[in-house]
Parts: sequence; C-alpha cells; structure tokens
Amino acid sequence: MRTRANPARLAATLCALALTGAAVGCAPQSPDHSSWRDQAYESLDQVSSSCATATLLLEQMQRHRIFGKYAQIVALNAETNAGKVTSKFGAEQPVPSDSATYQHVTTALSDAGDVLSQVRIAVVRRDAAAYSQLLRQLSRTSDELSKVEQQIGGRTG
Amino acid sequence: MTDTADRLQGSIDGLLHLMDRQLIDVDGLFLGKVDDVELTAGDDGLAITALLTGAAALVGRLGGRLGDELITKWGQARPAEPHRTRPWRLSMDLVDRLDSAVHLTVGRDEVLSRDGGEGLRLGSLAGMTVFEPDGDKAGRVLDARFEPRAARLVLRSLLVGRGGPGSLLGYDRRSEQGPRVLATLVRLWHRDTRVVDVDDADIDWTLEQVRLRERLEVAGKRALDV
Amino acid sequence: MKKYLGVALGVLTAIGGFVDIGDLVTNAQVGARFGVSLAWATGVGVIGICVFAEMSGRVAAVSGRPTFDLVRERVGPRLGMLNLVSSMLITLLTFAAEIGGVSLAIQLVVSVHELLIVPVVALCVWLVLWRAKFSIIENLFGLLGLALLVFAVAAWHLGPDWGALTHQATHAAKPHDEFWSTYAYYAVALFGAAMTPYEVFFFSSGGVEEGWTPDDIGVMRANVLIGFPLGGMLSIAISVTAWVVLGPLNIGVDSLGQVGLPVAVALGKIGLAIALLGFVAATFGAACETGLSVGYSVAQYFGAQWGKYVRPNEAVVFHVVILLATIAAAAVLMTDVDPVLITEMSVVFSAVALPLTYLPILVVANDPDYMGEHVNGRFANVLGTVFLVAVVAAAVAAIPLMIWTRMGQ
Repeated sequence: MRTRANPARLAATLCALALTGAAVGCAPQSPDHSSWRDQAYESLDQVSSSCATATLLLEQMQRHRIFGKYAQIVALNAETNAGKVTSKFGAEQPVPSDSATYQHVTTALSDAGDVLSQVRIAVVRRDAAAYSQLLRQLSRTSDELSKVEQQIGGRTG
Repeated sequence: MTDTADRLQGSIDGLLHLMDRQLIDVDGLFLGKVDDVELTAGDDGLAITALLTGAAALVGRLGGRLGDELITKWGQARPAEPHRTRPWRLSMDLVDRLDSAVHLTVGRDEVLSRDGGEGLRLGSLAGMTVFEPDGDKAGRVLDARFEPRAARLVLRSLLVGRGGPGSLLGYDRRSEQGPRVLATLVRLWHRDTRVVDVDDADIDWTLEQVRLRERLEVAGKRALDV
Repeated sequence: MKKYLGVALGVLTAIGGFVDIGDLVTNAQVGARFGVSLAWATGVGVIGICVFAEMSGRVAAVSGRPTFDLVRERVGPRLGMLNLVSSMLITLLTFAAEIGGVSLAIQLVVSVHELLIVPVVALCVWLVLWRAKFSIIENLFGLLGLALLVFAVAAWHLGPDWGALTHQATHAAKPHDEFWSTYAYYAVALFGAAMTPYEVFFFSSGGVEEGWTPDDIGVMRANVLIGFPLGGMLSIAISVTAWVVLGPLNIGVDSLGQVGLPVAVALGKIGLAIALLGFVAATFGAACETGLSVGYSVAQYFGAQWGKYVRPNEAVVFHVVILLATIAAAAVLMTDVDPVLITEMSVVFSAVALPLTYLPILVVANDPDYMGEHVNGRFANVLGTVFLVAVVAAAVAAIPLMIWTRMGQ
C-alpha cells in the first residue's frame, strides 16, 4: 500500500529551515580586513569604470558621434552605478585599523560621484562648452581613484 | 508526418508506445495526452478498452506515493461536480491509428465522456512490485506488452526488472538503437529485465502487487531476445 | 525572396541564444575583459546547439512531434514535470528579461524612465504573440535583428590588431589581470547561453508551425547551419568591438548603453542608429521566442492545442498561458530588477533542464519508430553524446562557479 507522508513534520522542517535562513540573513555586514579590502578595491574599480565611460562619452559627444538621448542614458547609468557602489561600500563596517583607508576610499568615491553628476547635468543640458572642463576633472578623478587603489594594494582574490 | 505503420496492428508496449502520446483528432487538432490507459477484463484477458485523459488521470501518475491522496484532493477541490475523480474516457473504437501520436476517427468537439466508471489502469499496473512464488521481491513492472486479438489489444506479458531510470528509453528492448554509449549504459542497468507471460503471473489490483507462479529466472525470457 | 526568408526561423532562434539582452551585455563585458580569448566557448556552443537543433528539427519534420512532446514521452510525466518547471523558470525569467531589454533599448532612443516603457512593451509583445502570423514574427524580427551586423562592420572599421586577436582566440590566452575562476565562469556562461533549452523548444515547434515534412529536412538544415553560426559570429563581433574600444579604458560593461559606444566610436550616429535598431529587434525577437516557448512547452506537456498555425480560438490554453506569462513578466520587471541580472540568474535552473531536454531528443532521434529511415547517423550520435556530457558538466559547474566568483566579478 502507499505510505502517507506526514504533513505536520514536513511543515515543521520547512519552518525550521526558513528560520535558520532568516537568522543567517540578519547577520550584520562586518567583513574581516582582507575581504573588506577586496571590496574597497572592487568598488574603486567599478567607479573608475563609470568615470572611463563618462570620459569616452564626452569625447564622442565633442566629435558629434552620439545622439543626445542616448548620451543622456549612458551618463545617467554611469552616475547611478557609481552612486550604488558608493553607498553599498559606505555601509560596510571596516575593522578599526582600516579607518584611515576607509576615509580615503569613501572620499575618492564620493568625489567621483560628484563629477559624474556634473557630467550628467551637462549632457542633459547639451552644454557642449562645459565638456572640456569636465574631461579634465574626470581625468583628475581617475588618477585619484587609481592612486587610492594602489594604496590598498590590489586584490588578494 | 510520415505514413509509418499503424502500431495497433502489431504488438505494443503500453508505456513505451502508447502512454503520454499526443491525441490528435480527425482534423489534426490536439485534444490532450494519453494520461492513462483503461484495461477491462474479457474472455482473452485484460484488453485496452479506452484511453484516459485529463487531470484526474494525470494527477494519480504524477503523485507517486501521494497519487491517491492527490486524486482525492482533486475531487475535493470542487465537491459540487459529480465524478470529478473519474478521468475523461476516449473509447478505443474512436482510435484510427497509432504512430508517434494517437489519431482519432472523429473531431474533438465533445468527444470525451466520464461514463466508464472506475476501470483498471495501466498506470497502476506499471510500477507494481513483483514477488517470487516464495515471497522474495523479484523487481517491478516496467512495462506491459499487448497483442492484437479479435480487434482488441490484449495484455500478453509483463516486463519485470529493476525500477529505475531509463526503462522508457526503449534500449532494453531493441538492440540496434543508438547511440552506442547510451544504449550500453541503459542495458547494463537493465540487464536483469525479463519478459514474463501474463499467464505466469497473478495481478492483485487492490494490494497493487504481482505474484509470479514460477521463479523469474524460469518464467522470464530476456527482454532483448523476445 | 521566399527562398531567402526560409532561414528566418533559424536566425530568430539563434538571436535568442546569442544576442538577446543578457548576451548583448555579457558579450561586451567578456570582450572588454577577456578579448576574444573566450571565443572558443561561443564556438563550441554554436556546434552544440547546431547538433541538437538539427536533431529536434529532424524529429519535428519526420514525426511532427516537437521537443516537449518527446520529453514527456521518454522521461515520463514526473521527470517531465520537473523539466517543465525548471525550463519554465529559465524561459519565463528570460522572457521577463527580454521585455526589460526591449524597454532598455527603447529608453536609449526616447530617454524616458524604463518602468514607464515596460507596460507598453509588454502589451505590444502580447499583441504580436496573439495576433501576428508566425511567418511575420520570424521574418520581421529575424531580418531586422541582422542590423546587429553593424557590429561586424564596426569591428572591421576599428582596425584591431588581427594578429593579436587571432593569437588570443587560438591560444585561449587569459589576460593576466583576470583569475582562472572568472575565466571559467564566463566560459560556462557563454556555452550555457548558447545551449539554452528554449532554442530547441522554439525551433522544433516553429518547424511544426511551418508544416515541415521529411522533404524539408534540407531547408531545416540550412536554417541550422546559417542561423546559429551567424548568431555566434554576431556575439564575437560584439566582443571584438568592446575589446578594442572599452578594454584599454578598463570599462566594465553593465548596461546596454555601453554596448553601443564602440559602434558610435567607429561609425558615428548612423552606425549607432543601426545598432539601436538591432537592439530593439533582437530583444523583441527574443521576447517572442521565449514567450512562445512558454506557451509551447506548457501546452505540449498537457497535450493542449498549441501553435499560431491555428486560429487563437482553437488554441485557447496556449494563448491564456502566454497572456499569464506576459503579465507575470511585467510584474517581475516592475520591481525594478536589472534584466541582465535575471538572465544570469536563470542559468541556475539549467542544471536540471538541460539534461532532461537534450537526452530525450538524442534518444528519439535514434528511434526508428519515430524516425523511420531518418534516424541519426554515426556522426550525429558521436557529437550528440559528447555534447550531452559537456552540457551536463557545464550545467553542474555553473552554480558553484557562480557563487565562487560572485557572478564573474
């Protein structure tokens, strides 16, 4: 004959699993030194990529090779992406010995975010006169980001 | 679509050749799958009398151990509907031919009925535990072989073997089918599969088990040789 | 003209496998980071999908049975249901991603927030799937998707160092600043994307829609041999343009807008406009492919009438499933989830769906009951067995790699 499954037991097991999952998920984000450093490196890398995208975009705008609307979305994506990365990294808890580095990294990230916002504003306004100035700013920001990246000293994997 | 031979004229393996096939009406429209097969006892033995389709037939096969439970629940889902646990029936008289699908002689509109009551099912025969005469477990029913007798398909033998993956692939029954690696693996897994004449077996439909009258090695023939 | 349109089904099927929204971004991403050192994965994927699409197309032409019929007939209702659920998760998630992808592509033209475009796109997709003829869907989107050839023109125009590219491609040379684990992750992702199960669902059902008979096996093979290599070529072209323009700047590609930038650099506004047309057509085509595949698979599992070759009134279940899938897809997108991320996540379910889809095809393509004289030859069987093993290995490896590399970061 066919055996009957025990629904109460099944339900209890599922509940226990769900609770365990929830408990694990609620642990605060406090990575150790090396994984925090990896994340810092990762964040700087991603924001550098956004800055490079904005640079490429402005250069092509100056050569009239891109539609305004298209450029708007690319600029907006670069800005949003950098913003997300910055706020995500800012919420990571550094170990005390990393406090100074934390300052460097978050400052560099939010500076880059500010420049990217200015790029977006200029692109939406089609303010072609501002592009050269912004390109210089972007170049400085990229240099700053890679300087901080070097300070941290690369990924450990 | 090719004009391959009509399989109803020769012997067929119920699960391999008929179960789960597409039902196609005379205009080429689809009306369901062969979700189960109804068997009725007659003079020659168990004959295929109808094809069953619809949720009430499918749910029982889907559920496995919980199959009966699921069918009850299916009925309880709408208590006002009479005979909801009975599957839709399609009499074999309406079947024209069987190739890669089941072709009907009629159109699909209102062709199904629930008149048949609770007949025996190929779906429950498949998977029944098979016991040796002394009570040892011999294996499970993997498939059932039918042969035409007086315009009906009658159960002639059972394929008994190790329950497990691959029995629906057909490699245990046909030697020439490739690819070679796959065929070898499936045959290795099903090397103990035997064909047992239905006269050498007692099917107990309520206990859902089959008892052999002689030991499997004596009564059974190797599936590939038949 | 009709002769040339005969291969539109293969082209449209390939678009869904090689240049849908997830692949557009992934190909550019892979190109920017790895150059063409992973082109072999796409190449292997092209061969694999050709082998199985040809088999499924041949089964459909000879026996009239599309792929999901075979799944249920060969692995039974229970494993068939398991495959239905997991492949539906892949196809439905990809369907949602494609609707999001069309919205992202249109956003690049009109610059309106994506979430305002999604409902309109979803409605359009559903109307097309409900009202438009199958031949119109395949011809229109298959043909317009070829606008992506502009990436090949751009690659040529950018004048990359062909010698270096050839070296990269032939030596599978991983750039030294990347880890082997990420390299492996992208190799598996590209191969898996090339062999997604909805391609064979769509291709074989499309063959039935077109009424293929054994006489059409030649046409079917032309579809396979033109469509999929073309798709693979497009995806490599996208990688090359990204490698040349975005790679040196260390740009990590995560949005559709970045994918088009190299074309703008190479060919200016006209090139960019053609690329945009290609984006819209490819994602819309992939949306049609995945949307129809949802309907095909569900209807074929339960035996309900399916297909666009009958009137919608005769295939009600099929059209209701598509309608519900469209609503579900739009609902998923309205949570503001990133469509590209959805397609990467859906790979998880392929560990179950891939073997349960490709095994029945291989078995039935060998079965003289279905195939008569058209059973697999030795060549198809050897390739089929090898790729079945490869696809299972890749599908199983995908999940640990995905977790280990945090989706290739």
